[in-house]
Amino acid sequence: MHQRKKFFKALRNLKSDEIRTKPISSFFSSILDSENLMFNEFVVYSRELFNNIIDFGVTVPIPSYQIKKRERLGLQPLNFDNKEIRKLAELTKLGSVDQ
Amino acid sequence: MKEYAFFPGCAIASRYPFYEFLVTKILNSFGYSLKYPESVTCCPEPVSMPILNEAAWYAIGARNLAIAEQMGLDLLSGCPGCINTFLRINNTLCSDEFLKGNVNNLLKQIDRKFEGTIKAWSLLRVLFEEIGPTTISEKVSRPLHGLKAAIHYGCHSFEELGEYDDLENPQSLYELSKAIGIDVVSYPSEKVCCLSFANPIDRDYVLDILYEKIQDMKKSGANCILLMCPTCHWQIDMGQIVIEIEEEKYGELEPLPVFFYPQLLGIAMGMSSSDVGLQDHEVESTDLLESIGIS
Repeated sequence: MHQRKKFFKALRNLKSDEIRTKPISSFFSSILDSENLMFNEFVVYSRELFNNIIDFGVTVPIPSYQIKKRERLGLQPLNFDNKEIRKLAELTKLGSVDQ
Repeated sequence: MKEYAFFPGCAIASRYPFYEFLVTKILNSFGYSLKYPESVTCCPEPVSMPILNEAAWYAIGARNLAIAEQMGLDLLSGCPGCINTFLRINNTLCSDEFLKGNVNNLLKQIDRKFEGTIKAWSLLRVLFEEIGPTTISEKVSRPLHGLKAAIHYGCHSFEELGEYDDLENPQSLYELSKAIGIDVVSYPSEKVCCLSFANPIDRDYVLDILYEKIQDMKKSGANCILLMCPTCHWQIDMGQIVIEIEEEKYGELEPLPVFFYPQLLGIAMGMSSSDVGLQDHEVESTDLLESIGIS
């Protein structure tokens, strides 16, 4: 329930943000005005991104063919420290840095 | 030679490695050196992550900034989404000692500390503000006359645009496009979001909005789309293919090629279309480029 309140609060902030333009506003309005399950779908999606960061360091795992392409282009390999991220994930389930 | 800590961003590393390659190559040619920070992660993503777990969002973002701080370098990224996250986290923590203390309590557990001593810069800002359209135009060996681009800044860019451009009527990408010979067309839905974050929620709504936007661009005379954001690129490039497939609903659509600005800058500086990775896009651009004498 707490997350749902935070979600709506965030949407209202976005809605009132003049930089955000017409479609975003109307889109968020439609979510705010509806009682459907969009919130749940959004949370499922967000959790998936977060789990990817914990497991791979990135929200979009880098496929092997792109890793090879990066090598061919002479780009530096990316290394992620999952140990530190796992620790932060563990800690932030308990702590809060809400303003 | 100016140095930056280079943050590729996961959308670029996983989908558009040539974009990362172009950022390094182009900035090197203007006398910049980019250093990869060790062990950084996703920025984290700026839309859904702070809603789901604000504490984790601040902590992971501050950790990335702390790694760049240890290098003693400002951070640069080609991804406006990453810059959105870093600016918001950096600015908020630097103005809120209580929050900064809480975040540092978390980082202390992994032997890190956020100080707030560096800035995050987008590639767009560096190209426009530091290098500038005039210097860029001096590097152009074949101006791209004949391209009529509809610019899509993307929502995340606006977090930073306010610091160096006009939020109501941004000029940076317009000026940079002119510098390489591109005509820019304006269209009514220029600031309309690509809505990539809404894909898992309402795909039909997302496609309807994209379809309207593409129609706006075409009516304004655009023959291509120009942007900086990898997420917007994925959404608009791939989205047009989906719209094409759903011909029964939308009718026949001739999709517009979608370019990253660094790709067209690379071509204008003499690189080939395969050098800049155009073969990796969904919407074909070969015919358009050949029509202006680029192969």
